[in-house]
Amino acid sequence: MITVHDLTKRHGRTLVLEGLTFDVSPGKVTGFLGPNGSGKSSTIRIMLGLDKPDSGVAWINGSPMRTRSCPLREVGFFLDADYVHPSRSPRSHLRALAASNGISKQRVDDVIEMVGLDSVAGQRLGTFSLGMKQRVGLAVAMLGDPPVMILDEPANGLDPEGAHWLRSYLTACAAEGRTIFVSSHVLSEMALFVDHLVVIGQGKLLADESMDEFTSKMSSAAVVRSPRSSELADTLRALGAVVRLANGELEVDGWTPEQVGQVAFQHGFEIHGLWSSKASLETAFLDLTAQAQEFKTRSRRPGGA
Amino acid sequence: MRHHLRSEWIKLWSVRGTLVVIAIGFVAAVGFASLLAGVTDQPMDLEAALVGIHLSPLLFMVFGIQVIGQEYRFKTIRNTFAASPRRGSVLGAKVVVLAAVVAGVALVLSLCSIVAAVLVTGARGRGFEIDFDGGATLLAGTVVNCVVAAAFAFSVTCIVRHQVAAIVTVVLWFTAVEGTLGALFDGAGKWLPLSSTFNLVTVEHDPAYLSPMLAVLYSTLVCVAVGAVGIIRIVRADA
Repeated sequence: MITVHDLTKRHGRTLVLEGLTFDVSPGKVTGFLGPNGSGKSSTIRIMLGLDKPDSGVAWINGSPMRTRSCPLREVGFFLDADYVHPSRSPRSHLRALAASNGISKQRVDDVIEMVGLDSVAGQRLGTFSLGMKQRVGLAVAMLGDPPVMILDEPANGLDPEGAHWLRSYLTACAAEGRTIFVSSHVLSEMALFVDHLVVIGQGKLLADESMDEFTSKMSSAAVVRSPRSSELADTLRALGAVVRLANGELEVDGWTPEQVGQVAFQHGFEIHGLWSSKASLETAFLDLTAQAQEFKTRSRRPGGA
Repeated sequence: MRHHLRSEWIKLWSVRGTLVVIAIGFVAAVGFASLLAGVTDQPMDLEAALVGIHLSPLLFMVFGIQVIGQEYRFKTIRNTFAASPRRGSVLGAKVVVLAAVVAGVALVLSLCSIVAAVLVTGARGRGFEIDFDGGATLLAGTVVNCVVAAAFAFSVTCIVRHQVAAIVTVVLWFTAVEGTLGALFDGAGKWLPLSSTFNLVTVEHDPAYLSPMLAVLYSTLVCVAVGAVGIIRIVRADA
């Protein structure tokens, strides 16, 4: 269980976090989303005891990280793949961290094998790709086989096999009752395995709810396929619906499939398909954080015109 | 603390920089000793044999800077402190490992320098004067001087928390600040942290500097004071 309560942090004159409060429960994967500069990494660093908040607390299983002497058996962490010494090998990097927490060399070899780096465990980290260093970072998180894992952008740079392995591993960890807290910018990736979402923008909490709740609150639509789609669209519009026609399918904003089906039945339209279209995580995220983007792109077209 | 000592030992010996510094130290210490023994017409003694290691305290300072400076340079300090949140223990372990390794390396380099000087003077058919009483004190003083240099540099790095800034600060302090103050003010040298240990590396003691015993106490006190400021700064600051 991770508890963040009324967390406030300033960097100089910039207010990075402002009264941030949320809990992360065990038994599920909680995603941590926010635009660039929203305060995600600051929150994670405070959770891990690396930064001090100006006010508020971040507790892990009832106490702050800084009070622990050997926390790797309680909290696994992933910060940044590049936080390694380039002339050190993955084995030495892991052995040094393991030794600081009294974790055995055998466990180091085990996690190296689990992340698939056993064939390169003695090579210099400076020669590794981002994805390989990412695996080293994940091995650090796994060292103490901890009940709580805090991971900052763990899938960044992983190849598809690695990303799939990570999803499966974290899902399995959550199923065992562990607390998994993952930040990521890759929304499509998060949508595949996250159960719960914490969304922040400009240091404030924007959402703290299940993935289903988060996406269903956003604009949903009923999609219907019919051989007489133009006539059905006219009928629905006459009833006040907002209808879009694309690829022979009608998308009816804010209507449920039941409502559309009833109208089609009453007016004798033949239906070949009828389903609900939820907003994607990306759509929902962009809608929610539209006002909380600190850094915005200005053009969507190549050339910037 | 035992876990942290083990961890810091692994870190120190798993980077190339450690071996590079030791290799340069070996070349400098043994090279100077051999060169001097090969060219001098004066009688060769222990003090002359150790001239190389006495001229290379900067090397041990670089060693002291590396131990903590590289953690900040490569940001591995964040992994270190996330895995070991009690920062004082981590820094304490770093100091202990640094002092032990520098003492061991300085002793080995000193002995290698002496052996090299004895062999070269022997090959030239000249004698090598060994004063066993004074020699033991000189050897111990040489080792302590290297440890003090490394510990001082480590402490300064804890304050500035940046490897390059630490190297610049320490080099400027050692060459410009202490050199200038020592030249401008009579008797100032004995109170300057790195110059105060002058009598540790000489057989005939200069009264303008602290006695070896006082020099050890004073330089240790200075390192502890500067180190305490550095440790407090690291413990309080965001990593």
